[in-house]
Amino acid sequence: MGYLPEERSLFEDLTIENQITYFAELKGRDKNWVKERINSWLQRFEVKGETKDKIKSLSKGNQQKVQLICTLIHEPKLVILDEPFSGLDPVNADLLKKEIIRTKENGAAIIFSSHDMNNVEELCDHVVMLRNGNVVLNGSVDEIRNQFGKKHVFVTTDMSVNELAALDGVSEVVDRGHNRYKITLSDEEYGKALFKAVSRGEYIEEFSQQPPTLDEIFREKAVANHA
Amino acid sequence: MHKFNIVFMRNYLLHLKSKSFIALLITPIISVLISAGIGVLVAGSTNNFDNYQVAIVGDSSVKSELVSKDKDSIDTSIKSESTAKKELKKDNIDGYIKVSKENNQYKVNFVGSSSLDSDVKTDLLAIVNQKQSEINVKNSNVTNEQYKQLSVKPAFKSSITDKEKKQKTEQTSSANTASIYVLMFISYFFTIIYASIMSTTIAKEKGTKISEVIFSSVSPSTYFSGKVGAVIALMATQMVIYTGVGVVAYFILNMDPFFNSLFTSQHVLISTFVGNIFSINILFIFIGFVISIVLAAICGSLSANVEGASKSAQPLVFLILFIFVLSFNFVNNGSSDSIFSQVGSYIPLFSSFLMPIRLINHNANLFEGIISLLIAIFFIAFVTYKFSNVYKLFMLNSEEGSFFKRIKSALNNK
Repeated sequence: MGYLPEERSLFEDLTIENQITYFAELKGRDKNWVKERINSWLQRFEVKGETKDKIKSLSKGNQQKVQLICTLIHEPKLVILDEPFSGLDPVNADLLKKEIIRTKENGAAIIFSSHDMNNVEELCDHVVMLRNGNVVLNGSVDEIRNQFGKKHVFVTTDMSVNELAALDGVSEVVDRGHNRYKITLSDEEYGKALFKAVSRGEYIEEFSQQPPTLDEIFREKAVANHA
Repeated sequence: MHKFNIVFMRNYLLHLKSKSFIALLITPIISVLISAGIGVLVAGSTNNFDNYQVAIVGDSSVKSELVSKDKDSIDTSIKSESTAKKELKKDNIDGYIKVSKENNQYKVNFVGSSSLDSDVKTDLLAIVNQKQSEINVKNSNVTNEQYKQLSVKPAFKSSITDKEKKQKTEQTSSANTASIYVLMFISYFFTIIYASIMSTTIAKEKGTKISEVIFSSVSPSTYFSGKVGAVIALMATQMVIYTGVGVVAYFILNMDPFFNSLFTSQHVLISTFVGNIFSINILFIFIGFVISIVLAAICGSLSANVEGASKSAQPLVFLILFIFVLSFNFVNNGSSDSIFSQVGSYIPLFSSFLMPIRLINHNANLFEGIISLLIAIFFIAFVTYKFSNVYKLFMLNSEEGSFFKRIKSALNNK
C-alpha cells in the first residue's frame, strides 16, 4: 500500500536516498531494488536536488515530490492520496496527474481525496462524496452527473439575455460574454424547444446540453449541508 | 523480524552518526584526559621538586658507597669543592657534602640551598658511622670477641601482617564506597541522557503525519520495539566503548613504572572496584537504563505535540532525580539497609539504584539480587508488551490537554 498524507511526513534529517529507501524497505522492497530506481523517479518528478541532499535542504514543493516518490516507488497495488495536489503549481500538478494515471494503468487501485472537483472529474472512475461521515454521492463521474439531469445549455446566439430568459423552461441565464451564454433549464425536456427557438432552423455555432459539473454538484451538496 | 531490523538499524545508525552522540561519547573521555593532563602537570612539578641533586666531595670510599645507594640524588660529575660551590651558586645542585677525616674522626659538612634530603642523610650517616666504628675498634685494641660483644644489638621484630590486613580492609571499604558512588552517578547521568534521547526521538514524530505513513507499512509494536531497541543498543555501544577504552588505558598505563607501582600497591582497591562494577550490579544498571528508555518512550508518545518534545521526558527525569537523591541519602546516612531501602530494592527502577548499594554493602545476597533483577526484567517485558499495543493510539492522538487527559483521550480511541 502507498499512503500520502496531506501534511508533509518526512524525516528532515535523512538524505533523499535514505528517506526513499527507508520507506520502501518498510514496504517490503529490497534496498538495492529501490536504489536502482531512485534517479529515474527523481528525474520524472523533476526534483531539484541530489540523492545525498538532506530533506530539510529541499524546497516545500520538492519535499512534496519526494513524498510522492516514497508513496509510489515500491509499486503498490493500493494507493491512498490525501489532497495530493495541495501546494503544487499547475506544472507539478500535471506531473503528478501523469504518475497517477501511469500507476492506474499498471493495475493499482487509487483512492484520493480532494476538494478540487476538476481534478476528480479528470482522474476518477468512481466518486464518493461524504458529508458528516455519510455517503451522499456514490457512482461513476458520468452516473453522478447524469443523476442531476442535463439542465445546463451552453449556447452562442445573437439573442439578448432578456429574450433567452423569456423562453419556456429557462430558469437562469448567465452571460459569458461575446454572445455566449450558460442557460439553466427547469427540466432537461425543454432542451429541444430551446434549440428550435435559438437556431430558428439555421446554422448555430454552439449548442451543448450537459449535466452539471462535479464542481457544481459539490457546491450544491455543500450548500445543502450548510443550510 | 525483517521490518524490526530495518527500523532498528535505521534508527541505530542515525543516532550513531549524529553529532550529538559523538559529542556525548567523547566529552567524558576528553574530560578524563584533561583531568589526567592536569594531574601529570602537577606530578611533573612535584617531580621537579623531587629531583634533588647534591654533590659529594672528599673521602672517596664514603663517596663511592653513598653513590651506590643514592645514585639518583648524587651528581657524580662534580669532583671538587670549588666546582660544587660554583654549581650551587648557579643553582644547578641543591647542595654539596664534604667528607673529611681528621685525627681518626670523620667530619661531614653539608652546604645547600635547602636541608639535606632525609634519605640521603640517613644513608650517609649509616656509612660514616660504620666507617667511624671500624676506626674506633682498631684504635681501642679490642679483640674480635670483645668487638662482637660490643656489636650486639637489641632484637627488633616487626610484624606487618595485621597492618596489611587492616590496609586491605581499608582498601576494600574505600573501593566499595567508590564503586557505590560511581555506579550511582553512572546510573543517574546515563539514565537522564538516554531517557531524553528516547522521549525526544518519539515525540518528534508526534503530531506529524509520519506516524500515519509508518503505521501503513509496519505494525506499531514492531516499530516501537525497533526504536527502543536502537536506543538501548546505542547506550550499550557507549558502555562497550568506554569499557574498551578503560581496558586499553589500563594496559598502556601499566607499562609506565609509576602507574605500574601504583596499580600494584592499590591492587586490592582496583580489583574490588572493578569486581563491584562488573558483576550483577552492571546488570542492574543496564536494566535500569532499559526501564528508563521504555518509560521515556511512553512519555515521548504522550507529548502534546512536536514542540513539546524537549520537555516530554520531564515526569521521568523528576522520578529519576528523586530516586537518585533518595539513594544518595541512604548511602550518606549509612541506612542502606533500612526498611525503605529494602523495599525499594525490589521496585523496578528504584532497584537499579538501591540493590547494587545493598549488594556492595553485603546487606543483600546474590539470591535476593537475582530476584530483584527478575522482577525488573518481568516489568520491562510487561510494560513493553502492554505499551506497544497502545503505542499507535498514543502517537495518533492529537488531544492537547493535560498529561492525564491525553492518556485518557488516547485510550478512549481504542
